[in-house]
Amino acid sequence: MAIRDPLVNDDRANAVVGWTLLAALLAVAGRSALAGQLLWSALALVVASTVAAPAVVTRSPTTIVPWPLVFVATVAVTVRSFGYALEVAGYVAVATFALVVVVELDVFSEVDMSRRFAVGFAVLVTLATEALWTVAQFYSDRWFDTALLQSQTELQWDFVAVTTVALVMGLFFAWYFQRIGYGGSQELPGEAASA
Amino acid sequence: MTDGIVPGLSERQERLVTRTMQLALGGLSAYGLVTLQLGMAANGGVALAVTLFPALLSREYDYAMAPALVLWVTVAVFLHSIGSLGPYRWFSWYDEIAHTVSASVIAGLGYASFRALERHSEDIEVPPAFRGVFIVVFVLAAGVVWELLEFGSGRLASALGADAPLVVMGIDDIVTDFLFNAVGAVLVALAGTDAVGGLVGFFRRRLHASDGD
Repeated sequence: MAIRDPLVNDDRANAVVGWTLLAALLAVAGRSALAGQLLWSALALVVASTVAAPAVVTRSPTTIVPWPLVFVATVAVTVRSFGYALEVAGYVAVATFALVVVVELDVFSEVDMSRRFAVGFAVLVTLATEALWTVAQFYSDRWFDTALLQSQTELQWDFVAVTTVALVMGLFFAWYFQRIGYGGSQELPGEAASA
Repeated sequence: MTDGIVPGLSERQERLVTRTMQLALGGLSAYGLVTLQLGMAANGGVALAVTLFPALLSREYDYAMAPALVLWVTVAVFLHSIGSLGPYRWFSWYDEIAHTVSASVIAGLGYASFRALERHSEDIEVPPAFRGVFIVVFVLAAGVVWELLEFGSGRLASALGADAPLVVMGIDDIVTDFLFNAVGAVLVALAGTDAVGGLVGFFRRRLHASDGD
């Protein structure tokens, strides 16, 4: 028997937890904005709108990803905005964001992926985001006199950290989605019985 | 005479150009060995090995890669090998061209693997626009993985007291690489996916074979 998460498999309970977390995320976004951390406030807002998008499009509040994804994203963004574990929290936030996007593509759009492929693709999206983020920081330093990129070695350690976080998060959610039977294509006959 | 994919070249001419570059890489490697410049020898040798990979595929799996594809791969590694002899330092645009070309090879490989997986697996079905997005994501991610390789090999080399085999020339070098990788990826996403049609079929047959059917 597959073990089911009682909250996730009850759409209503999942939605209640998900929207509550989303409200917390918005509060954090507001707090960051007031503190002048516009970049992080923007990231929190982008994550929040991505989580909310399927519900808005389908006009059904229960169309929302499993709450643990929203939970990890909210915790990461909150920890980051309160100034703790700046780098790791940032990477976890980006990795979760990638997972949310890929899972939503899989579950709510015409893009169909197997569960393993979806998680692997989320890891690629995280790395790709890091590449774009590096480019953005570089030009921010050059054009706006910020000092985001300090040294080459530091940047290279960033790559190591982001890859590690992406892989760990990917493995965790691959395990979790398998456990709750979420995402991927419809279960193959026999899979539910043997899982 | 069979027309090749490269405009103006027949398949025979495409092969000839490939052979010429392979010969040059072999020569570079031999020259490095004779003059005891081991970095140069390894550089030429590894590049030559990469260009011979399609021949290995054809031997092992009876898959004849289109000569234009072999040429494409060969041009990419040739540009990098020759670049490290000097052009990288002489011309600022050289690195950018080399990265655009090799990113297009990675993009082609990524696209072919994905397409093969998509056709092979009943679980994966995507609209065409997604394939373009996949190519760009794949190449950008490959750029970060490549940086990890450079970083890792550099640290390993310094732990062993040797020279770093892959030299990273600063943050702006990394950023330029990422940017021009993206250019190569977008070019392939927009225009180049037809060229790897044969490779898709090959990967797909391998997937079938590995399933045992």
